[in-house]
Amino acid sequence: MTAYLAGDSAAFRELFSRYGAVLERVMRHRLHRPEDARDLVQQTFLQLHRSRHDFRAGALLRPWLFTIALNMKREYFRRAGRRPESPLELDGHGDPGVAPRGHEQVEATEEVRFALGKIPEDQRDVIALHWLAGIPLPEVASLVGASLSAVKVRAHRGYAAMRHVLKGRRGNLDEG
Amino acid sequence: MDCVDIKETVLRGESLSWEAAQHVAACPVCSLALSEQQATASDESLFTDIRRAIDEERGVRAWLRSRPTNVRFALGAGWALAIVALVALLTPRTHYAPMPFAEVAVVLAVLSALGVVALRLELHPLQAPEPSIVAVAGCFAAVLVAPALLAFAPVPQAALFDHYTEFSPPQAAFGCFFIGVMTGVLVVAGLRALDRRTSHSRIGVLVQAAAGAIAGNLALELHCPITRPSHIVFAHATVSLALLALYEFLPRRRAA
Repeated sequence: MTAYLAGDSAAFRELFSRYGAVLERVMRHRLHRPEDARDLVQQTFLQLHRSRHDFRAGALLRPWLFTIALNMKREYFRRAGRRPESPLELDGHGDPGVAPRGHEQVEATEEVRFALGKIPEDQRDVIALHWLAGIPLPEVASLVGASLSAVKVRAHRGYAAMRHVLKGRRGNLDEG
Repeated sequence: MDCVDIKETVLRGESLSWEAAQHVAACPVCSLALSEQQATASDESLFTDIRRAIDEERGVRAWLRSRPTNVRFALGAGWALAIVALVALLTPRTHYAPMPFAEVAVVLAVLSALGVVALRLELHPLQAPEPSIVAVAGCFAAVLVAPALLAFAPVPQAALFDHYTEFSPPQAAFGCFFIGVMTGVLVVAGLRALDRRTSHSRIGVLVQAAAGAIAGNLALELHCPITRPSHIVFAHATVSLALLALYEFLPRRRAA
């Protein structure tokens, strides 16, 4: 980020390589259409560019970037006036930006999104950042604006709820 | 050991214990996490789109909203004060009646404090946690109520001014309302140039209407000599409602 501020345009490519894919993954779990997720990722990096002079050398970029992303997502839902839709379609199909994936991976991703869609929003945000983005819980706490203990409680409850959802879903599939 | 502990272990780069491995084998969430494909490699077309959007960030507005937040705040405050001062210079209150300085000072102090809050909410950086809807709604409610409450503040006898001789009360009310709204519109236009958001949510509109209304009421306090409470309530305090209608409801009706 410091290099980018100094005018090194290649540094922006490095930033995108490091965070673009994981940001898109986090966005996709809430949004039905891949193009909406891509649009939000694009807006996040655009906001990063606009906010670059607020960045202090030596600060951590990841919490900065993910806070922007979460705020953009909330703004998106307020503008659209809608709640996150249940992601029922398989991921990766018809999306030119995603390489063809094995059936098992596609099914696994679909199960992830199904389970995430069934849990409360505050738990979903924590698990998306912790599980999909791989962000440690102390950092997740600062991103969502809650205490570490509150975030741990949400994570525990969220994972437990997802286990319950997945067991129920797999049971229904087996019966079917 | 549960899913949270296992994920934290993986994030620390540590290997899983036997107990953790047993959990993973039995847990649908953890086993799913291991089998789900990792995020795809960086999408070249997405990078191209982002790069194009950044390259289009040119001109005065792009420069303004890329300034550090404290600079944007100073510019926004300076712009608002400049507009208010211009209105006060063009249509001074003292032309009609002596200005009750103590009362005006109190009103200006209260409105300025609200103005600082509104400005902070309007120009808050997106890399900081978002202000709560309660804070935003509270700010707008305070902007709506403050001029109405201040209308009933005591005024020195010498400064009492009930109505113009050359304008009827409705004409005077409309004149003040128009000046307040136009001041607010000019201030909001400047604040939007500093705002980094690409489009405006309802929360953003509420804050902008509040900021514009504060500027409008500041200008009216320096312009309007009428101390009759009914005039202040119906001609000054309603500026915030008019701005909210202008920025929230009219665009929605047009879009519909």
